[in-house]
This record gives sequence, structure tokens and C-alpha cells, in this order.
Amino acid sequence: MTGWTVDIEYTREYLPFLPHTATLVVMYACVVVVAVLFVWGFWRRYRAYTKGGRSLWQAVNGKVLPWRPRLWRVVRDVILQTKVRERHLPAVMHMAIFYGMVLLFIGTCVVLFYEDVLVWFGDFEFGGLPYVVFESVLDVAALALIIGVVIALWRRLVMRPAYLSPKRSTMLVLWGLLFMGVSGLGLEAYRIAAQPSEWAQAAFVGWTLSHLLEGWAGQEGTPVAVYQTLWWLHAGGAFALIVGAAWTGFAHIFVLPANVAAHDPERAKTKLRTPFNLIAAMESEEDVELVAGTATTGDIAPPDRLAADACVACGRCHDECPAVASGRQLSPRDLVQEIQATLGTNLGSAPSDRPAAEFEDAAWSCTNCYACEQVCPARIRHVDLVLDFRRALVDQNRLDEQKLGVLQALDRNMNPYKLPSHERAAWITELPYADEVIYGAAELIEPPEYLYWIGCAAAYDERTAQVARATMDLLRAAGVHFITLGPAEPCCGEPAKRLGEEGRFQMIAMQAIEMIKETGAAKIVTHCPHGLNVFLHEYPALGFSIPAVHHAELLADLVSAGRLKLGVGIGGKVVYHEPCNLARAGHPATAALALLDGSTVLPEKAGVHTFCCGGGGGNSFYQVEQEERRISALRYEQVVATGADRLAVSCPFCLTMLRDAAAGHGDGALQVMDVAEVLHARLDEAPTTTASAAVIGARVNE
Amino acid sequence: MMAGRFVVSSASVTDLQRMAELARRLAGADGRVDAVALAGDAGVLAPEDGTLADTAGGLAGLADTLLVYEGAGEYLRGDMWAAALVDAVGRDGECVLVADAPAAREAVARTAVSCRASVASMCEDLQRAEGGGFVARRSIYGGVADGLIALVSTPAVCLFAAGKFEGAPSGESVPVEQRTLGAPAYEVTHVGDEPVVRTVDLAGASVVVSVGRGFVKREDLDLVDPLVSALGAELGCSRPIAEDFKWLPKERLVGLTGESVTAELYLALGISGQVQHLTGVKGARVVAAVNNDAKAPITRNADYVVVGDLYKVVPELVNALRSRS
Amino acid sequence: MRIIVCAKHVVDSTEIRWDDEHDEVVLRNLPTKISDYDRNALEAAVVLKESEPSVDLDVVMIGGEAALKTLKEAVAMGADRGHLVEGGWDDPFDPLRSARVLAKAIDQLEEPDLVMCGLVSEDGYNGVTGAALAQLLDVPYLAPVVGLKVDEGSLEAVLDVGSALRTVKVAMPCVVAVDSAMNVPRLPTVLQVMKVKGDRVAKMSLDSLSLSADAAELAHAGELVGSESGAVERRRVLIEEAPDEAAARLVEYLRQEGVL
Ligand SMILES: Cc1cc2nc3c(=O)[nH]c(=O)nc-3n(C[C@H](O)[C@H](O)[C@H](O)COP(=O)(O)OP(=O)(O)OC[C@H]3O[C@@H](n4cnc5c(N)ncnc54)[C@H](O)[C@@H]3O)c2cc1C
Ligand code: SF4
Ligand code: SF4
Repeated sequence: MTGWTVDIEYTREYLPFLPHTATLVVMYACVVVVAVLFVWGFWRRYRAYTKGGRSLWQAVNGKVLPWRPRLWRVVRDVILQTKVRERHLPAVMHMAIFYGMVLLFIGTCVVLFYEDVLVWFGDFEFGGLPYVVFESVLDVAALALIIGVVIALWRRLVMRPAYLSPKRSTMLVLWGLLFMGVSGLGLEAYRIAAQPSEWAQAAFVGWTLSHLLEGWAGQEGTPVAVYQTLWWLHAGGAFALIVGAAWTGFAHIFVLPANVAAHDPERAKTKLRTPFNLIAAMESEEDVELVAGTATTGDIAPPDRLAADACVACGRCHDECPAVASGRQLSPRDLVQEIQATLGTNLGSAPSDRPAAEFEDAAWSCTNCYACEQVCPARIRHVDLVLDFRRALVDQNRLDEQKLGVLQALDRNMNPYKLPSHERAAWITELPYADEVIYGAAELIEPPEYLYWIGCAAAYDERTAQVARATMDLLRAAGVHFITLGPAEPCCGEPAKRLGEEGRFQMIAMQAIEMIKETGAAKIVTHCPHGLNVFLHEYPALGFSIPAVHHAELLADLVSAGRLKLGVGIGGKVVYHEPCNLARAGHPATAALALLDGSTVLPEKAGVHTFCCGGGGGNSFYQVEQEERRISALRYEQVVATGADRLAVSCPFCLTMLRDAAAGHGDGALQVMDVAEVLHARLDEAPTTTASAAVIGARVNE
Repeated sequence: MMAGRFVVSSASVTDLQRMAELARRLAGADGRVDAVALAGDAGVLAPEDGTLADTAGGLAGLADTLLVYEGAGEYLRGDMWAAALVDAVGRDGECVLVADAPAAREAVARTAVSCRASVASMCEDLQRAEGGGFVARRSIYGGVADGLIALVSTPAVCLFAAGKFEGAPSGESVPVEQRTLGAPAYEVTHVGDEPVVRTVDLAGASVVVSVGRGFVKREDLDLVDPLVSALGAELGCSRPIAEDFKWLPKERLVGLTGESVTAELYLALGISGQVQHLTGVKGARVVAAVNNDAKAPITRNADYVVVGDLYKVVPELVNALRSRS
Repeated sequence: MRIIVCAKHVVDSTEIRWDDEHDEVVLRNLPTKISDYDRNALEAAVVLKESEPSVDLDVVMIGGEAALKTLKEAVAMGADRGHLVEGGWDDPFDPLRSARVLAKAIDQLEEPDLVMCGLVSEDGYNGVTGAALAQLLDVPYLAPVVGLKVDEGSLEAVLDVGSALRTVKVAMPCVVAVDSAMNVPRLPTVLQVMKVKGDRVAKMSLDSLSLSADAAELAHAGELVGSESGAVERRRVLIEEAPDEAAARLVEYLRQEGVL
């Protein structure tokens, strides 16, 4: 090894076989032109993002801080390619191209720096060991680039997965990159063949190829002309790619990192945006212009334009989307691509303004499951785009009777089921411990630790009511001090929010917040992940924060603290379906799994990649006409494939949807239960329902 | 004052008979009941389903005279009808009874205004009030309650729900008295009629028979055909039938994502009664079901539930209905 | 063209219930709204206005202070302005009183070409007010309207008379009562209602209509004097017999109910 450290006298000639000065003049003339085109291209982009005079500053919500998580995310997503690495073949492909290009770019810059900059400051020679290492690294890089591009082309031309529908510009860029890699190695091989040197082996690829040219490559004649042509084509290709990086979808190499940096790292995945604050607006002296939604694509705000422009049409979202799988009129990829096209940022697309109505089917087909956002390497927030279209459609009164009916019922009856509010949670008043758990009826010596939120589903649906009963039994058995709002409980507002009626959501929320405050409860527990999301993420935006947990989390804590005496349960093999609103919002399955007995399995799509039941985003309350298979049926097949005997869920919508899907399978159908019900069946002691029934019975009899 | 004069009118003969019978009861033997008929270019317009002779015969023992107003025009118009009623009420008419029909509400409203009367709509029964006037009984607030409406000023104009006459006329035809209406107060040009063929009208049907997943095969739905025709019902279904199996068109779907019924009778066959389905059934007056599961939610949400196999019960139901008639 | 829509402020019919304990219909503290069919009328008027921007659209509503919010909702659907006639509770069982007050109110306003209302009201279901109003204004009345076309002073309407869709033509002014089958009324969003500012809703006192509290027009012509529960709490009768007997029994029950 020491041999390497002795002075190595190897270097290579700068611009061999080319007229030195003329080449430099033409090349730098081109550089100037390219630089101008490059800046112009991005200036156009910037103008497209900030159309309508709004600032891109919104992209970071007006705050660069916290800069650390933002920076870290860029490092991870871009430099470490974390997001990209989630899929195998595309990961190899993209990393090979990415790292290959980065190295080659750096290599080229280093050479230019040495030869054209440092040369003015003295006799610096790029040689010796660094140069040898440099040559080998560049060859590895070139090889990687070629391999990556070949994989990319192979996937697009031969494998052709449904989620990839390559654009012309993408193909052009790929062919261009391939040419760059191959021509670069070719030039190197020629040089080595024409100017043999003992150190040339460092450039091992070029050196290997050079054997092919031995004897032909020389210092003059046709071979040199060929070399010169190829060199100029190579240089031209590089310039074209740089210009392309400003004028085509290849711009993603800059726009995507920009969007990753703009992405608010503190906003929870399931948190929707709050476009205005009704109370603040009503109290404000000034006449604030309150707008909801994007009536046309022209209304899309700068940060979302940047996001749309960052889309690389990789199709991962398309591949994961349950709406796509069910044959609905929605592909998140196409949605983003269509919005991107209206920006007119890429060569060949003119800016256009498309009305929200054109995105109507897509907007209502979305279940707000976040599967797309989970996998998107550009960290695009598709649900934001969908919701803004919904808001505009609501504002334009473009709702069908079903959706109108839901919004109307929320207004009139305080529930999305169109059932009278006086029938709400009637069952709770018949519980043996009713007057211990209903706020107002119960004597509260001290404020309760928890408010147990029943939710509209349990309030009106008999089956879901059983979940609520099981949960309350368990909480009582563990001695948790809790209260419910009983029949007086309002809707939490989630359906209004997801259907795009923000104003109604806020009106409902204000009412709910007042009632929650009144109970004096320190925390909220609910079996509904949708309610949970609203409490955790949406109410704070309206100025009210309260700790909230999912019932599975609280019950798991109680189990591990030994506060529940458990025996054997039903047993058998249980498959657990994770709700999108938990799994993708940072609530892992561990809590729910801790409640299950027997052997537990997870379906193929689990964890952050769980597959939707079809009930989110308001879909539980309206029908999507154009679909081939129901989303719930698709998911049901996935869970059945695990060979489990029972299906455990932890969300009222999942319960309804998957029971509905199961019912189509007659006697062989899986029994669908909430995790709390599974745990309830494990309770060793007689459930509190009966225990305290005696106590209450005695009191009543007095 | 007790033995007043009553004016009755209706768009169908049985309704007219029913109105006349009620008026007779209230008018007493001394009172007088005048039935009003309208005739126009194309013959009798009200009641539209009988000749004058039929009508006069049908009112035997119920009314005293049949006042026939000629010149009512091409079709039954509320304003012309009102003109006839106002004329018939005259100075001493005490009460006007009309059964519901298109144009009847306009007739009643205009009459009430012209006569400075009191008015009650959707009446089911009518009594004399102590101390004068009348009290009508009607269902209020969508059936939440039965209410009594006091009709203070005279004459009292009452619009009754349409229905059937169960009694029978007796004796001789009532005498007919011809009168002529003046020109209409308002010019209404009749451009044309487009006959309506109603295919599926779940919302408006008075009897709905609905089928659910209790049916195993599409062909099995044939089983309900005789039942549907025996009941004069409209066929409905639950979501699996319309959307999963697509055995029936979606316009027959009852529930949250389908239609809401207002039927007198809703009969659910092989339907479990999930809340999304029941939402559409709320408006039915009587809910009956056939289900083999005594614990299905429908059993708690129906008036009468036959617990049994629909494949056996449905044919028996048809038999029972046939033998009755 | 000027259109006036008469919209009724009602207690939400889906929330009304019978209170067994106090033996009465519960109406207090319930949500209130625009009567359903009147929303159809409003929708139809707004659609006319959308196709012909010169249409000037007013809404008239009777009610107390609480009706103001309902009136704003009506205006938010797309009317130019609203008028609240401070006439207290718009009694569902006295449609003639409603019609008389409305007629007086309309007299005070710039003369309309077209007066529109719902076929029936959600609370009273009488179907009388619109026709009575037509009689008071001495104009033609068309109902139940499922289609409308206006051209040059005359109005072409499609009426659903059961056996046929009848097309008729009348000279305006006239009163039309819109059927629910005509359209799906829009639901104004909370923001849209908020944006209806005070200057678009005016109040009219009964005095200003020269209706004193004891005016003949306000005397009750119909009045609810008693009520009892109409609840059809499902009977939950289980018939567990052999199929033929069970069928016979069911038919028997249904006959007793009078639904066969
Ligand atoms: C968002 C959403 C919206 C929905 N909207 C609607 C809607 O608008 N309308 C609607 O109907 N549903 C709707 N559903 C579906 C609803 O939840 C139920 O799944 C559906 O109503 C069940 O239909 P069913 O009663 O026919 O089937 P099942 O629930 O399978 O019931 C079949 C019943 O038939 C009985 N049965 C079986 N064999 C026999 C026999 N031989 N004799 C007698 N009885 C027998 C069984 O005991 C069972 O009770 C909706 C669901 C969701 C999630
Ligand atoms: S939105 Fe994201 S995941 Fe979807 S195609 Fe574009 S970059 Fe890929
Ligand atoms: S949120 Fe779910 S349904 Fe909506 S576009 Fe994304 S993946 Fe598809």
C-alpha cells in the first residue's frame, strides 16, 4: 500500500485531441447560454408557483424554523434517498442514477476547476494519487449510471407496471443519460488507447474498453474526427441535460428537494388544513375575505403548486391507492400530474386554469387514507389537494343529494346518519351503570380523568354500540375514572371537515369543545380514530388542546399495568386490520396487538402501509358510483388470505365496512370484532356491567 | 244553527260519497247536504270517474241535491272549482268538505279566502265543537302526534285526505240541479299534457315489499311477484341486492344511499335491518318482516315479524291474501 | 323581472318528537330551518336568476328574532335581499293568517312579477298558503310546479297532476307552488350565510303593514287546540308459527292496521 503514497507522476492531458483555445471559447460560450436558459427556466417555474401575486413563502408556512427537522428530512430523503429506498428495484435504479450522476457532476466540476480556474493562479497539476482514485470512482459512477438507466428503461419499456405511465420527456432524459454514460466511457477508452499509460488501469472500465480501440485510435485522421464529434455530442448532451433540468420534468432534481424542504415536518399526517378561523373572523374588525377551496387550479396556493411540480410520476401513489384498486375515477398520480400540467412549467405544456368541477369524481373518490402520501418520494400531500377541490365543490353547491343530506343532517340532527338527535345513544341510558357514566346524571366528586367519546357511529349503530359497551366495561373493571356526554354528545365534526364544509365543521367543533370543557375531564379516550384525529390535530387549530388517546392505547396500558384480570379468551388465529388514521398517524399496532389473544397475524399490507377499509374521508356516508370492486371487499380478501379465524379492527368505520364485506361470504365469513371486544372476552372477573348492576339496582330499589 | 247546510265535493265518486256521509252525520236529519259536481267541455270533471247519473245514484241517502256546474273548462281547475264552491256555499253554507286531489287545495284555499272562512287541511275526522264551530282531527308534525284543529269562523272549509268509501248508498238518486259558471277569472292556456308512466316510485308507493340477502339466487326473486301484485306494492331492496348482486336497479334501493319510503305498509323479506337500511324505512306507518333470525335488528324495528323461512312464508302469504279477497 | 319567494321559518321536522312525560309535542329548543319545499322554491328562483341576471329576487319570511338566521340562510342561497315580517310564530295550523300577512307584506314591496312558494310547508303540510295568497293578490295560482320557463311577461309551467305532466301558460303576475321533485335545493355553506350582511335583510313590523295585533287578518281561523301522541313505536310482535298460520296471522294483523 505504501506504493500508492510514493509520488505518483501520473496525470492526463486536458482536452486531448482538441484545439485547446477554440474548444474552450466555444464551450464557455455554451456555458453562458446554458446558464441563461437554466435561470430562465427556473424563473418561469418560480413565476408559475407564485401566480396571483401570492408568495412562495407560504410554502414553509412563513417560517423556516424549525430548520433542523427540515434539513434532516432533506438529508434523509435526498442525500440518503430514504424514501426512494422503500421499493427494491426502483431503489437500485434511482440510487444508481442519482449517486452516479452526482459523482460524475462533481468529477466534471473538479476537472474544470483545476484546469480552467486554478490555472490562472499558478501551476497546479491535478495528478498523483488523488487523480488515480478520482478516475476509478468516476468509472464506477459511470457504470452505475448506465446500469440505473438501463433498469429504468427496462421497467418502462419491458416490465411496464400499470402504475408507471412514462412521459415523453422522461424517456428523452433517460436516453440522454444513457448516452452520456456510454459516450463518456467511449471517450475515455479512446484516450487510453491513443495515449497508453501504466496508470490507465485505474480507469478500469475505460481501460478495459480501450483494448477494443487499440491500433485504431490514434493522434490524427478519421479516428480523431470521430473522437472530436463524440466529445462535442457528449458536451452538448451535458448542456442539454442541464437545460432540461430547468425546462422539463427532469427539474425534479431541484424541485423535489425544494418541496421536501418546504414540507412542514411538524404537521401530523392526518391533520387537515384549517383555511380560516370562523371565530377569529367574526371577532375581527376588518372585513376578512374568507375563501375555502380551489375553485379552479389557478386558485391552488404556491406551496401546493411547488408540490405538484415536484411530482415525478413515479406512480407509487397510484399503486397504493385503494380508489385506483377499486376502479374509481381517481388516480393520485394523474391528479397531481394534471395539476402539474396546468402550471405550464415544463416545455410543451401551456399554463391553464381548470375548474374544480373537472376533478369532481376524483375528489369524491378519495377515502383520505393517506396511502399515497405515505409512499410519495416527493412528500406531496394529495389529501390537501383533494380537500381543497371538495371545499370548492361544496362552495359551488355542486353536491349530490347524498352528500347534501349528510351535511344537512349534521346541521339539523348533529349526526351524519340523518337520524333525530333525540334518539342519540338511547342505549346508554339503559345501561345498569348509566347514571355513573353520563355527565349530568353522575355525581362528580372530582373532575373525571377521562371523557370517553362515544361518537356518532356507536350512538346510532347497534353493532358499534357493543364496542362502546365493551370499552366502558373494561374501563370500569380497571377502575378508570371516566364520564361520557351520553345522549347529549354532539358530533365531533369530522364528516363535515372531510366533506369540505369547513365552516360547518368549525360550528360543530365549537359546540363540542364547549361541552368537553364543561366536563372538566383531563383527557379524552375514544374508540374512533377519526374522532381521535380531530381531537389531537384539528381542535388545536381552533384553539383547544386536550390530550387524547385511542381506546386500544389506554387499554394496553391498563393491561400492562396489571389493572385488568385476564383469563383465556376466544383463542384461535386473529388477524388485525389497522385503521389508516392510526397506522399512518404514528400510532403503531403494538397497542392493539397487546389486547388480542391467541395467535395474531397482520395482513400483507400492514403498519404504515395498511390498506383502507373504504370508510374514510366521508365515504361511509355516500356512494361512489363508478367502482368495479368495493374497497372493503378488496381489503377483506387481503385479511382472509392470512388464514385467520377472526378479524380484529379498532375503528367503527372499519367495523362497518369489513362486516359489510364479510356478510357477502355467508357462513364462512370471518367474525369481525373490535379489539376492545376481544379483550372484553378475556376478562376473568364478571364484567362490571353485572357487578355494578347490583349496586345500582339496590339504589334504584330504595 | 245546528241544522246547517253542508257542501261536499271531490274529484272521485268514492271520495264524494265519503264526504257526503260525513256531512250527513254532522248535518243531522234536518240539515242539508249539497254535493257539487263540475262539468266542462269534455264531460264531468269532478268527480271525474263517473257520469252524472252514476254520481247522483251514488249519493242516494247521503246528499240532498247534486249541483252540477257547467262551463268548468277543459280540465279541473282550482279556481273554477272554488268558484263553484263559493256559489254553492252562498250565504248560509256552514261547512265545506273536499277530499284531496290535484287542484283541491287551490279550490279549498280560494274558497276559504272568498268566504272569509276558517280552514283545515289533511283532516281525518270532523266534529262539531261545543259552543259552535268545528274541530278537525288530523295528524300533525309528520305523524308525531294527532292534533285537534279548531275551526272558529263560519263557514269551515275542510280538506280531507283521499280515501275509500266503505258504506253503501241507499234509496233513490238525488235530484240534479244545473248551474253555470261564469268565465274564468284568470286566463290559463293549456299547452298540452304528457301522460306519465311511473316505473318505480318507491317514495310515493303506499305499499313497499323489499327483498334482501335472504334470497339466495336471482331467480328466487320471482317468488315475490305474486305477493307484489296481490298487495299492489312497489318492489324495493337492500343494498346487496341492488349493488353487489345487481339483481335489481338502484332506483329500488331503500336506505341511506337509496330512497326513503312513506308507505302505509313496508314489508321486509330477508333483510336484517341495519341502520343504513332502516333510515329509509322510518317514514313507513306499519313495518312487517319475514326473517329466519329472531335476533336480527329488524325484529326490534318492525311491528310484525314472521320468524321463519321466507321461501315457505312468502307463498303462504300470497295464499292468505288471495283467500281473503 | 321581480320574483318574491315566500319562505317559511319552521322547527326542524326531523327533530320534533312526542314527550310522553308531559304529553305534548316537543318544539322548544329545537333547530329551526327554511321549510323544505320552500327551499325548492328558492332553488327554482335562484336558477331563474342565474340564467337571467336581471332577475331581482326577494325573500319574505314571517317570524320572530330567531327567524333572522333562517332568513339569512335563504338569502345566502342566492337572493338579493330578505324581508322579515315580525309577526311572531308562523302558526302551521293557520295558513290563512300566514297568507294574509304575506299578502300585506308583498303589497309594501315593489310589485313582483312572480311569487313563489313551496307546495306545502314542512310543519303544517296544508298546501293552502300559496293558493290563498294568490286569491288575496287576485292572480292565477299554479301547482304543483315541476318545471318553469319565463319569457316576456308570461310564464310556462309544468304541473305534476298525477296522471300527466301538464304544461300551461299564464300571464304574470302569478303565484306558483313548487314541488320537491322540481330540483335539489342547494345548501348554503356556513361561510356563505356569514357573508350575508345586515344590509341585505330588512325587518317589517306588523304596524308598518297596518296590521295591528287585533286586526281581523290576524284572528285565528284555525288553531291547534289539543293533541295526543301519534307515535308508531314499532310493536315488535313476533309471529313464530308454522308458515301457513304465521302468514294468516300476519295478514290478519295487517288488516287490523288497515293497510291492506
Ligand atoms: C356507507 C354504507 C351505506 C349503506 N347504505 C345502504 C342503503 O342505503 N340501503 C341498504 O339496504 N343498505 C345499505 N348499506 C348496507 C347495510 O349496512 C347492510 O349491509 C345491508 O342493508 C344488508 O342487507 P340485507 O339485510 O339484505 O343483508 P343481510 O344483512 O345479509 O341480511 C339478510 C337477512 O336475511 C335473513 N335470511 C337469510 N335467509 C333467510 C330465509 N331463507 N328466510 C328468511 N330470512 C332469511 C338473515 O337472517 C338476515 O337477517 C350501507 C352500508 C354502508 C357501509
Ligand atoms: S405524487 Fe408522489 S408518489 Fe405519486 S407519482 Fe407523483 S411523485 Fe410519485
Ligand atoms: S388518500 Fe387514499 S384514496 Fe385518496 S388518493 Fe391517496 S391513496 Fe387514494
